[in-house]
Amino acid sequence: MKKIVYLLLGALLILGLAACTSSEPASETETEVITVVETVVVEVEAVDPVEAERRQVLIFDLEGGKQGDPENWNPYSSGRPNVKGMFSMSEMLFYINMITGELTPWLGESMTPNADFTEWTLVLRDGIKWSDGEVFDADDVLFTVNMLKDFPELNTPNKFEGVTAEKVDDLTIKFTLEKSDPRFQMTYFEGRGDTSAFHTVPEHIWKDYIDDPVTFRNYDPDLGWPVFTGAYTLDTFTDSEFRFVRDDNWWGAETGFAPLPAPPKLTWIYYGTEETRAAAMAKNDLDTMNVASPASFDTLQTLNENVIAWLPEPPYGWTDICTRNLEFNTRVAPWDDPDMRWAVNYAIDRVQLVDIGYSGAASPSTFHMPAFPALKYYMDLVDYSQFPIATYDPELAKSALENLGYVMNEATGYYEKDGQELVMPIVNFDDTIINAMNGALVEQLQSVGINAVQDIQTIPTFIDNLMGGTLETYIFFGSCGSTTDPWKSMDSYSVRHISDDGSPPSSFYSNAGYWDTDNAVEYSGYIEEIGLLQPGDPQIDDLFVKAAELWLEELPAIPLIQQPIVLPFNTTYWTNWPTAENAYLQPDLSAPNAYLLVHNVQPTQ
Amino acid sequence: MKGLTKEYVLKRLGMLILTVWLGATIIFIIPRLAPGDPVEGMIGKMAITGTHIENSEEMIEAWRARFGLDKPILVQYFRYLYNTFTFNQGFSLSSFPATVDSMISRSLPWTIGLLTTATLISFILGNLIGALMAWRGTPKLVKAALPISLIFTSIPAFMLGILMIYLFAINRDWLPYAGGFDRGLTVGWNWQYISSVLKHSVLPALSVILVTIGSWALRMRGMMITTDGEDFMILAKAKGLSPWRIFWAYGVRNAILPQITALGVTLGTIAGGFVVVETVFAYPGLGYLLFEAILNSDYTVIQGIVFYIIFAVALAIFIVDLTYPLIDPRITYKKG
Repeated sequence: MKKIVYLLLGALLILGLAACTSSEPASETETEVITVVETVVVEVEAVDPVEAERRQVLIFDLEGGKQGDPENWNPYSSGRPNVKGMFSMSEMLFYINMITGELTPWLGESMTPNADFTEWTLVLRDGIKWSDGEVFDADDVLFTVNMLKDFPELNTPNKFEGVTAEKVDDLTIKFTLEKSDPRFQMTYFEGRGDTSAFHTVPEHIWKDYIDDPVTFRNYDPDLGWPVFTGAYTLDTFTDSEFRFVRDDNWWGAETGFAPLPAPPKLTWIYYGTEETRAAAMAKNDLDTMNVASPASFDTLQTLNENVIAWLPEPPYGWTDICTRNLEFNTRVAPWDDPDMRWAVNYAIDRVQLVDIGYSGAASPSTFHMPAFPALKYYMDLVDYSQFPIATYDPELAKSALENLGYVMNEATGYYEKDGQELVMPIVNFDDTIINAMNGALVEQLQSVGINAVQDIQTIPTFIDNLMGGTLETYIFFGSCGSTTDPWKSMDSYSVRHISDDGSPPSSFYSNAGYWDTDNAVEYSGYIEEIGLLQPGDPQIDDLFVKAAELWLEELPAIPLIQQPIVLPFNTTYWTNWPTAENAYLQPDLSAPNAYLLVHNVQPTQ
Repeated sequence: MKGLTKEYVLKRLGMLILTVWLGATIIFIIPRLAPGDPVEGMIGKMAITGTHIENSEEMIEAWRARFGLDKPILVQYFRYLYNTFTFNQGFSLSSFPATVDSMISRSLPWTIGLLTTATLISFILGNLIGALMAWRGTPKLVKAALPISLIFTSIPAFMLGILMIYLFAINRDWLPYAGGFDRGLTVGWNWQYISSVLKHSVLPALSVILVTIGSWALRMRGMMITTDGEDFMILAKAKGLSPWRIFWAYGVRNAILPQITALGVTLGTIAGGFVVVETVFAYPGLGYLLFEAILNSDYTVIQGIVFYIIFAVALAIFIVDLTYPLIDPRITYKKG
């Protein structure tokens, strides 16, 4: 028995020694040989096929991780196929630059309304072809519009309700609206959001599946599906890697509309947690990374000096479309009282929230819209001296509470009214940054005598509770939507979203806090008026100020943070990334206009 | 078969079906006791990635009808049982129109390949180490060295995974840090792909082996000590049998029986994957799928995976029960 054990140990020892011999120092003659070999290796590396292949590919970070249904290329499926590179194949009618508001006509050439915005005429560009060679025309757009109207389960918020579409000729479609809508083009055809994008589908393929387009997966490699009009077609994929190749017969290059994009291949790949994705980028295995925390970005830059972001200094990122607010169910006491909400506001130190949640790389928010240039114009019109929302004054918070009848219980350190302690459960959905920020917020409120408690919930539970009206106070972004025109975000607080039968709001971007006071009704009237004006109309200015003042007076939500989105870009293989100095695109690759990125990046060599 | 009776096999088969039915019924009831509606959650998730959904009520009704959630609960239950026992788990809620079975079948080979191999290696090495630690004839030097192999047992697998990623993938470029295979490879039976898969499985497998090996070893050590005091061991030594034969045929063979039961259960739970390890290494297995399904409240996928875990564990125990008489001749289900 012992012999066998020693025999095994001996074998292991021999293996270990064999492994060690490779690290022994070389003799002089061997050194010369090694030097020659190294020279050859260096020459070979210059044409290293792995490196050459790498230079052909623009590699994106696959958002959301491994895909549950990799074969699904139906852009209207609930499974969110858009995250895996759909925008490289499916082109929009128009692309919006969310920073400048500039509109780039693409499949569409123009879209013009009549005088009262009840008729819109869309003219398509001539010479567009699908990737299978079929002609793209008005029938395809009409087919897509009617399909979205007929199937409510299709995953798009834009169902063309109250809209009739008719073909005028092969390149022209007329939309007739039951109600005037100056933002019809903006809402439907500018590709502002991932799921709100209008993906035109080829009628000659989809008409055979029109009985149930909800389950149609739009994939058949033998038939060359999926078929779209974009400059890239699907190559191969697994559930964690999606590859696309450039279509050198792309209609845009053939018609002279635009040159072929530089990257011959695109790949979306999943590398796991933020740490491993950052490691992948440090090793040049990724050209972009979805979102990095400011701390991760700092580390990343020290590991790979070729990594850049929107800004060279903190906060590095671009402002997210959604500001982070402390929101209230305004029907639930004591939060139904605007003075209570203002008292809470005075107790909040936004600078500390920025320091704790964002390592200093964010900015405090004093209104519920992102500070994009076009929106900042409107926000700056408001006279904030009447509404000192940025004031952090714990003593003022305490006196405001005392004016409302609250008395400090010295034993507990919390305010009470009618024997009831002032308890404030603040819910947030599970997110590293928001968790930290809410933790700090709770401490700030505790320090003025409000018994605030943090409650972290999973996203589905949070959504269930929010939509069910069971949350009292919560950190969220219920005013998302506006980028260049204030109407969408302002409309989030309109009373039109609250139904008389007590049913929940249609979404959490639809006045989920049930703000329905007299101020809210008056506010909603101004918003309705703004809605009837074309974006950019000077009459909006005055209406905006009146509405904003009503909102600030009652503060149905407390704006907290202008959240930065830090999207690292790797300049090792590709340059001309969007930056603040080269703002051809917002650095947020979840919107379909990220297609413009692949048309702008250039190889380093 | 040796030691088995028809009655016993049928009785165990009945127990197997009863266990699976009970399990299936419980996983039907639990999600329905939870607050919230999966379809509303699904619409909510659509809304969180988009903007206003103006007609959510109409959308919710249409989806409820598609998933059969508009039917009475009993109809839902019997339809669910029929589908479950015909291995049709329906559609995924978060990846519709993908079916649960297609999602599981894509992930299962990765998990089985990785975890079965890792578990068997861990089982064999762990039991060998445990047996050698307890065996009087083991050289002292070896006895002193063996416990070193157990130091990783108390480290959580994900911590070990992160540590190994840092040491062997990031600090030293020896092994890949994530995924099932290298970027850009063509999936198929070619050497480049196979070698890449093997290379990518080293770190996740090692983290599973190092973490689990200790428990096998410690249990085996305890059972070997008990076995060593048995009369038949004294008799074997008195008969002058070789230490090698006593160790294997008398010691290990008798001590390992409870370990085989544990192995059956462990192999059954493999269907659930090693969630944390697969998540840390972005390994495309069932554990990661389950993790994502829980995060997304994808009840149908959770139900599907849990059902297969229940089924696999029940089947594994059934098989272990039937194979006992083959492993240990003293065990028989025959009367008299």
